[in-house]
Amino acid sequence: MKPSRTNDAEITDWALSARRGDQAALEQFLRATQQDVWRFVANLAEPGLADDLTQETYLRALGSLRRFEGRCSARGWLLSIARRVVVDQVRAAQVRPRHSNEPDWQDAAERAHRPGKTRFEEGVVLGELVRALDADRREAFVLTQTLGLTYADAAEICDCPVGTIRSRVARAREDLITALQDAETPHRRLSAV
Amino acid sequence: MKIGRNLRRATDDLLMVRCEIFREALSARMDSELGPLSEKDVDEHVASCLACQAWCDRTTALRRSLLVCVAPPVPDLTDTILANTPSPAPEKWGLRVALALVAIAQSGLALTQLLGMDTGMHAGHGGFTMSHLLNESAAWNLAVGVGLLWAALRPQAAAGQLPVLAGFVLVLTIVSADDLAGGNVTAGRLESHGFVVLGLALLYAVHRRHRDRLEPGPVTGDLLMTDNHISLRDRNPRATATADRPRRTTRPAGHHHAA
Repeated sequence: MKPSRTNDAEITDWALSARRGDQAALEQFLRATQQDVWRFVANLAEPGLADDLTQETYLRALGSLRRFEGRCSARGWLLSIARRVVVDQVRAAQVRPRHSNEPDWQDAAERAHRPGKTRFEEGVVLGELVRALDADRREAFVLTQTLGLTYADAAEICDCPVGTIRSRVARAREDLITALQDAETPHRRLSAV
Repeated sequence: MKIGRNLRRATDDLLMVRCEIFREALSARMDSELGPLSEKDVDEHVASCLACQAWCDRTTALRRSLLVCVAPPVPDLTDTILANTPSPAPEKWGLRVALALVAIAQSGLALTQLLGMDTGMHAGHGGFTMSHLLNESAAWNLAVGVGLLWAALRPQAAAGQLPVLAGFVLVLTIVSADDLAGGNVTAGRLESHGFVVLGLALLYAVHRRHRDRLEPGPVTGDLLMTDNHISLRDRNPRATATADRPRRTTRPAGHHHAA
């Protein structure tokens, strides 16, 4: 699923040009990074919120673009802002009454094994399982698996050591295969997950 | 007996821990990343551990499913984002260019004085001491010119020069007024001070513009961008709860302003 991605250095150059008021560079920066931001937030929060969260990310990012000095890659900088946006959204959501559209691990896992499902459905189900992961593991998993970043880049975005990313990715994998495995044997409960 | 049982439990724990670290190594290997163990150790363990072999098969299958499953289409929000965000103000070059011109004029003036051309000073009558004082003043004038040029090129350098130049202009104004009253200075020489005064004014303007535009970043600024964000509060009620919360929760180092 690794998309052919624009060079990090080029994106950073666009961000720095946009900071100096170059409108064309700003547009290129947006087009080159938007997909990663959208998929990142869509995998961390409810997909229905992805558009709003993406916009909020850019609103914050462009508001503080003048303080971006190119010391790290602009993509990483943007994703770390997206990460904060999601954290803030989750906090805000906890203040409000709960919605019923929380991801249901059991249900999703059982649908994952329904015969005759399409690849699109499979993607949706896997997406739900990923969203049901523990927040830290999910973050590491989405950055490295869905966006295809290296462990080092993911560590910078999450502000943690590379070894932490490595173990979170491994645990996320463990959690996911356990969920899928438990769905194959429906009589077992998922309490261990 | 008790000791033996404890020992066995410890061994079981050790086995669990061992599998966990090998699985981490397998997971890293799958992503072509550096694992916590040598490849040889991992291979040896996996060859002898059925649970880890199964784990490896399942995670590989999971990875494949993630690769082949169809990702939801990503909408293009570029136009919406552009419409909703004010683009950063373009940098205005006028002030810096003016400062550079003044700096060059000031330096040129100092150089002609150093080279002994007539700049309104009666350099002929002073003897050695006077001659050296003139050279010294020319050197200072040249230094002011160089400093101003540097600030025109690198606006962040403007702040440090302000007190020096302001002090210079203040004292120069007082002594000039005194000398003018006593008839010790020519109008031509006084006019040449105009560049320093103009330079000070432009230096201040460039400094202000630079500060307003960029606010010299904290050392870790690139990583801590979110504490001055503009919230979508009006359009997005979800943001309200967080917008009201003080946002300065990150590392204290983020608030140091490098002058």
